[in-house]
Amino acid sequence: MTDVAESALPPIPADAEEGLALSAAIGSIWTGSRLLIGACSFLYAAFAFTFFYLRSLNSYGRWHPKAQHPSLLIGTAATVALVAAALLHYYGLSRLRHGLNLDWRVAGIASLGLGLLSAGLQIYQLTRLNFFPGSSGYASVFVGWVPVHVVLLLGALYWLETLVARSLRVRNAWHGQGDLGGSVTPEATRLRASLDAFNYFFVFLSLVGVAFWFLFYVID
Amino acid sequence: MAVDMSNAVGLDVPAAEQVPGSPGELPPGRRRGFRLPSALGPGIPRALVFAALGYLFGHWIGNLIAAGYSQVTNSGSNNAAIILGYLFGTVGWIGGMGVLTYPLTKMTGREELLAPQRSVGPGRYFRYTLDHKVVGIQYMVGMIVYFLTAGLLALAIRTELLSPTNHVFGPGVYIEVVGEHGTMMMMMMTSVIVGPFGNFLVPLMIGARRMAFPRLEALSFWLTPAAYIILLSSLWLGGFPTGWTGYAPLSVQAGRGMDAYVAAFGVMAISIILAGFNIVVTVINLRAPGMTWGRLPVFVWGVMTTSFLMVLATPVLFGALYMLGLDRTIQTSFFTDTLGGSSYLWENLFWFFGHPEVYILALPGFAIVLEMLPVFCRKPIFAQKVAIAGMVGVSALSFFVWQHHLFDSGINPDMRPLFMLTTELISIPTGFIFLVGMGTLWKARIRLTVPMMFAMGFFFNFLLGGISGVFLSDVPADTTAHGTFFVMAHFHYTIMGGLIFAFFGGLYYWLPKMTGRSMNHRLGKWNFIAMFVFFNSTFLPLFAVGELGQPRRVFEYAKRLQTLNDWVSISAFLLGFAILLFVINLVWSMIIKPVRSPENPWHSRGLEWQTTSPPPPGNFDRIPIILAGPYEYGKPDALPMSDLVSRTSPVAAAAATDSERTI
Amino acid sequence: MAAATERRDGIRILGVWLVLSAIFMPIVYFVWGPHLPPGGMSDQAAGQRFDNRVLGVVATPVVLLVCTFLVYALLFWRQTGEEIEDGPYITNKVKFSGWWVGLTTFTVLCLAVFGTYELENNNGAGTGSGPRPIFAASGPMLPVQVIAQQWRFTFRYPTYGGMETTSLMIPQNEEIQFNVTSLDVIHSFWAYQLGVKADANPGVNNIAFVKALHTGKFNILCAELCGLWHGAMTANGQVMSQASFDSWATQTEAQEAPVTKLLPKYSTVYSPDEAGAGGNYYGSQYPVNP
Ligand SMILES: [Cu+2]
Repeated sequence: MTDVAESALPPIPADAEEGLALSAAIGSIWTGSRLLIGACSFLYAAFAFTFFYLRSLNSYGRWHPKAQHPSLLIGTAATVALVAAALLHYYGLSRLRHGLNLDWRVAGIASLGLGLLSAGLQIYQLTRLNFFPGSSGYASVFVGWVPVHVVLLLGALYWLETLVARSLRVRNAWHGQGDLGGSVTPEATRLRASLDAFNYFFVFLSLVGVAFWFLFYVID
Repeated sequence: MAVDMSNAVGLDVPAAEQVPGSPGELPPGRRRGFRLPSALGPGIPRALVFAALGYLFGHWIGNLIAAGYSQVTNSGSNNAAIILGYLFGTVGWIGGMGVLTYPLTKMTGREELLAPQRSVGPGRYFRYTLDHKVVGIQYMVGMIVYFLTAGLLALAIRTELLSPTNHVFGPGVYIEVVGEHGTMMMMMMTSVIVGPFGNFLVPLMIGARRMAFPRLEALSFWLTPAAYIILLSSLWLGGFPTGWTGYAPLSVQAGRGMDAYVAAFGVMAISIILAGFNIVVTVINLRAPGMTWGRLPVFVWGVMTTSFLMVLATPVLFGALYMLGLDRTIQTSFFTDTLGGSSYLWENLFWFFGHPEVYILALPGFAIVLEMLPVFCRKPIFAQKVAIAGMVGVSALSFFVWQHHLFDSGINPDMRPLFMLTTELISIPTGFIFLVGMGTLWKARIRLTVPMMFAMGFFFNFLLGGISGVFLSDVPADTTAHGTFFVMAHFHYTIMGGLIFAFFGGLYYWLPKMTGRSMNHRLGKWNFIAMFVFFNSTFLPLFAVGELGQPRRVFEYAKRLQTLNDWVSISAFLLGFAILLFVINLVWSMIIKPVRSPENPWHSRGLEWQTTSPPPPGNFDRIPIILAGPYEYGKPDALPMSDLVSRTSPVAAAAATDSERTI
Repeated sequence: MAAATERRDGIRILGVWLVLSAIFMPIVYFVWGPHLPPGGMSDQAAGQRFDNRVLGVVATPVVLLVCTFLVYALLFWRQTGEEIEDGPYITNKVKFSGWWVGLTTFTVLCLAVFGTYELENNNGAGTGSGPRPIFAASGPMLPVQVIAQQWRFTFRYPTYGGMETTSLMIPQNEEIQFNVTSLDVIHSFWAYQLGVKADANPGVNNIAFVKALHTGKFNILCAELCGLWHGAMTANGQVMSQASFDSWATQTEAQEAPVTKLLPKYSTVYSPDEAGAGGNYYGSQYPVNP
């Protein structure tokens, strides 16, 4: 019994545990963000299903009376702002990979602003509808979907804000070691993993925004 | 979700001072900055105050918004105020528990110093504690409270059904009780294994010190008391008349109590998503070196597949509840056909969640039973890959069967053969579980301990539950059975007879691990026998009751069915006593007269038994290296599961003597 | 030696199982089967009973196999006492697993094919099949509308001037087409002895068919939770001979004519007006009746 165990691998030294913990943390961030996208996809899918289901049933011909339409201008502007925010962050992140820390910080803050603009526009649009929430199937789906999208967007912006705040706070401490983009400390590695994960999620949200823009304004 | 993405080791805390198992936490003495007096600090008293304030605030907001709408102000009930009250109350509750401190601090870019403290002593069970073992115990107690409450409601139902025409409650209270029972049980059953055992055991079984997202884990627990209180508060608002399925448009039409259903189920949905999310990520990423997918215990496989279903299916429920909430508050028309909605929409969305949900309730039962079988058979699990394939197959198929709940609803009649096929296909992976169970029992050295009894009971009950499901999947046979006590008996056989038997077996099996104390075996034996006999005597006749023409959720029924119903009611009361035996055993053996359990009472090879009971804060002295699978019983040259047992600890000594005896 | 005991165990289990199955399968089919619900009052009920019999016969050996195995294992492979002994190291028997998977798959596919066949022939016709059912019932068909509302059923006969009754009368040996709809929430029209169950959805015409074979009374219940008095939502039904149905119908039509005049025009679905059930919820800004 004892010799069996002794012939096996030597036990993990205590200092190797930190490495294990780090790779587990980075893996968790990766898996977590993908799983988050999965969960959100199912939530959005519930709305997409509702859209197409009610549209195909068209009960009492009240799927979508033509006069009822949210403002195309505001809706498009909100979607464009969201896509721009995501693209900007995506671009900033690729600059960060080249070691350009300031670029990411600027892109991150700008993206935060654009995201808030998009959320604000969507809320504003809700206050300027020419129909009541229950006027039609379309009206219900629209009025129901926008707050969900706004809340998830605000959640993503909260995430972005914590990343930006963190990167600003550690700016001086990590300056000598290559800063956010280049530092090899576990903390910096983890923060970069979180950035990557956020990037994926943000791109996902913007794609959802575009998809539902098509539903609401093109397909009807 | 996003809140917790970068939670691990803190920058400013020297590694030596970090409490093992939860990196980033300081010992209480080293906390910096302003500290509140302890009476105002995070905890249940503050949470209750914040919850009350939150409720009032939400209520006020709701009334403010609706003030301009005569439609609402004249109706006597402002549903928006009630739902917002519940939501802000929940936020206040978790804020009072201290959940929000970390995410708010994080916005300033500081992320670890104000993390909630690990505390020792019994107080930690009443706080927002990040240790997965504490959360596991909290969940266990919480889910037992849920179970007993909903069980008492079940007895109330059976009391009303003692007579076909004389009423104890009358239709109004009866329908409220039915709804409360169903909803509370469903909310609880979803987390009853993943919550207590998943949280407590998964890190121990995969050789990790902690969960991937301990804050989400603790939050997922602390949402459950909120959901419990909200759901019960529905009685005060007049209850809800829809049962747990909440079919629209009845749920749109219903009174204020329905808002509590929406809010409670919604809060619980978030809890379920978080719990499952955490477990999936943990199992994928935190396995110890050498813990390959092939060596992963079946229990972990089962909990992980369940968690996948929880993460993916529950958002659809959340979406549906949200739409229902909107229909009830701002008068959207998702479910009103005259305004472009459809009553079918709710049925589709609800059951798209609801059927994976059914397997969320079945898979953990499989997992527990298959985990215990090899230990008490002293044999390797039979065809482990088939077992895993069975669980994965059930999970995947469960997304494609939901319309079998709607065979006679008139939705997509042409699709019925397809859904009949997918539904019956599910019997194949379910059959895998029976194959694995029977293969493991084959020529085994069966030790009929209390957990093993529950496992055997599980197989029998689940067999009847599964077989009756085949009748329901066949459209013509379903025509009579649908919506009757037959269905009700069917899912009680799978949930109560399956999942709860597995849960009780798991408690008898793992409580020594979780607490270091063992349950009384003699009482446990009587607990099992009474439960098994009275469970079957309660629910077997209900198949007949349903087939003989009694619909579900009725307070009156045909006189000719009184004998059967009375038999069932009396058995149900006796079943209540059987569960009382369990409670007595639990309180007696855990609290009043605790008996120290041996370190490895079942002589299991499992990794969770290779540390002390209860495990120390960091679970293991060091991260183990996994050397072999967990079920290598009867293999003379088998390595121990990890390198932990070679050392001279009491556990190792016990394990060593065991294996010497075995070999 | 080990191999010999193994074969004995296997053969013993197999033997007991076969004997039990040989005893119980005929009992289920021939003795119990004819008494299985929902009886034989209609073509559809008899079809469902046939399905129950077949499924019962298929289920019997499955239940018996698992039970035999569990009992045998607990009787013969049980270990008592303090001494702990390990069992044989068997991780899989591929041939056995393969047979198991193959047989369960085969059984399940057979059941699915059987179920589909039964559904598409007349046996599934008692189930609500939506507004455009695929069943083409032959012969003359009597349409009867079932209107569910909280908490009662009423029945309209469009071929008899659209008269509305509170109990359901149908003739024997004639195809009946039930058009089931609801005025408020979801109900389910369940004529127990006829083997008919169809959800009543607002705004939906859910069609089910039945052909009654015997005269007699039957019960109608609501099988979908519809609120406070769901448990008391029942009605009476009766299958009459052709002749007595005709005389009942013509007589009732004449007798009810003044009432029928006041009813809404017969239609497959009805939308309640604002003062009716479900009305008043949406405000006057909404066009409830488009
Ligand atoms: Cu009803």
